[in-house]
Formats: sequence, C-alpha cells, structure tokens
Amino acid sequence: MNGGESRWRFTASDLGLLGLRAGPAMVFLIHGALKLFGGHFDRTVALFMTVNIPAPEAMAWTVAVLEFAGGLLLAVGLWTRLAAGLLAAEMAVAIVRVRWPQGFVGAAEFEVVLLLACLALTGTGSGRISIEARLNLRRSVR
Amino acid sequence: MRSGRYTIALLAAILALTALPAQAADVTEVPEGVSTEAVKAFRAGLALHRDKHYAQAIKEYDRAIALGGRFPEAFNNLAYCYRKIGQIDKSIELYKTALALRPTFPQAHDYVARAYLAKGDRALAMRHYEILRRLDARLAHCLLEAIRRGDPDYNDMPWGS
Repeated sequence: MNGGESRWRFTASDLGLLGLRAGPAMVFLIHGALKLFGGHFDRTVALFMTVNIPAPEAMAWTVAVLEFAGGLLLAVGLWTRLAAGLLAAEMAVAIVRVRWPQGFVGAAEFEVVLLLACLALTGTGSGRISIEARLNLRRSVR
Repeated sequence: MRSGRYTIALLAAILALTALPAQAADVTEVPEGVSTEAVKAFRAGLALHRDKHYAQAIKEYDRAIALGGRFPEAFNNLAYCYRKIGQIDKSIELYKTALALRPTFPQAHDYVARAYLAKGDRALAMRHYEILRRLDARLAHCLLEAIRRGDPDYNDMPWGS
C-alpha cells in the first residue's frame, strides 16, 4: 500500500461509508445516552417486561451500553464490523418482539432501515475515513 | 486542542437531546396519520364514553377501528367500555392489542391490571403494576391501592388522571 497516497485521498465510496456510519451512529448514540443518562431506563425496562424479554433489567443495561458504545464506535470507525453486527442483532430482536405487531409504515420501517444499514456495515467495514483505517495504515507503514 | 473541543461539543449536544421530554400518552389523543372519518368516530365514541353510555361508545370505537383507526387509544378505550359493561375477557384481549401497538402505554397497563383483578388474578394484576410503576408512579400508586383492597374500581379514572 502506498502510505502517502492513501492517507489523504478518499474515494466516493469512503465518503459513502462515512455517511452510512454517521446515520446509525447518531441514532444509537442518542438513544443509548437517553437510556443511560436521560431518564429512559425505566421505560426501557417496562417495554422489555411488556414484550416478555427475559431478565428485563439486565437486558436494558446491556442494550443501553451497546447503543451508546456501539454508536460511538460507529461514529469514530473503530471495531465497526463487531459494533454493527451487535446493533443489527438488537434491531432484529426489536423488529420481531416489538415492532412487527405495529405494522411497517410508521412502526417497523425505522428499525428495518437501521438493521439493513448495520448489516451493510458488517459486510463493508468502516472505510478509510476512520480510526480503524488510520491504525491499519500505521501498521502497514511500520 | 481542536479534537477536545469537538468532543465537548458532541457531549453537550447529546446531553441537550437527553433533556427532551418523553412522549406523553393520553387516551383522548389521536395520533397523526389517522383518517378523518376514523377520528370523527373516535371523538363520537369519546363523547358517549364520557357520558357513560358504554354500549353506544363501543359501536363508535368499533367503527373508528374499522375505518382504519388502529391506534392504541382506540383499543384501550374500547376495552375500558367492555370492562365497564362486565365483558372482562373481551376487554383483556383488547388491552393486549393496545399494548402490542404501544407497549409503554401507562393507562392500558393500569386498566388491564384492573381487568385481571376483576377476574381474581392478583398475580397478573401485580405484574402490570410492576411495569406501570416504571412508567407512571402516580397511576401505579393508585393501582396498588386498588390491588391491596381487591377492588378494581377503586380510583379507576377513565382518562388516566
């Protein structure tokens, strides 16, 4: 790899991947923060209890941390595949257990978009505008 | 330290967004996107419901739902009317539909708990109390008192407040 060239020149695909990461990152980061710091934690536990998610309190902590940390990781582009994969799994559960009975338009559509975006990122990775790419670049230069 | 400033700005934006109020739930509200005809039928149902003409209110709520008004408030209010005319099993099924459409609907948890209490199922009533106390402490307090007394009608407020 030519270090000097790939350090500063980004392709349209890299910008596209940055955009693909930015949307879900913002949504998950804010929703994770709402659960952890914004008073939505009890509401999440209540939701999980209503739809019969096992160990609702522990699962609410897990989901809150996953959304906050996962959103942050997607934003900066670090461990993108792992974070996107876990968030995709969360969205799949949300669609099946909560959103599906509510229909698609105005209900499941939002989670479906997030699921597909996360699945796409699981396949593509973060692109070159990311911490991951910077770290890989340093390793290859060494 | 430009990156430090960006980090502080990002955290400030997140904290500002976390301060947004949670969505309010009101059994008299109609969500956006419901057809005008369904809204009219729902409002007619509400007027009859307020005057305790439950059987007639049921017809209007049914009509609202048939006209495409599949929103949780319609199912919740329909269930309330069925409960008040003594059709507890039917009301429980309708509360379940309301809760499937909006699992964090405080009034539906309150009322379905009372329906279970009317059936003598204190355990399920308590389960919904446990959910409700995480959603609306004041409603939950009133429900707990009803459960303690074994009286589903104690503090039973038709509009949840």
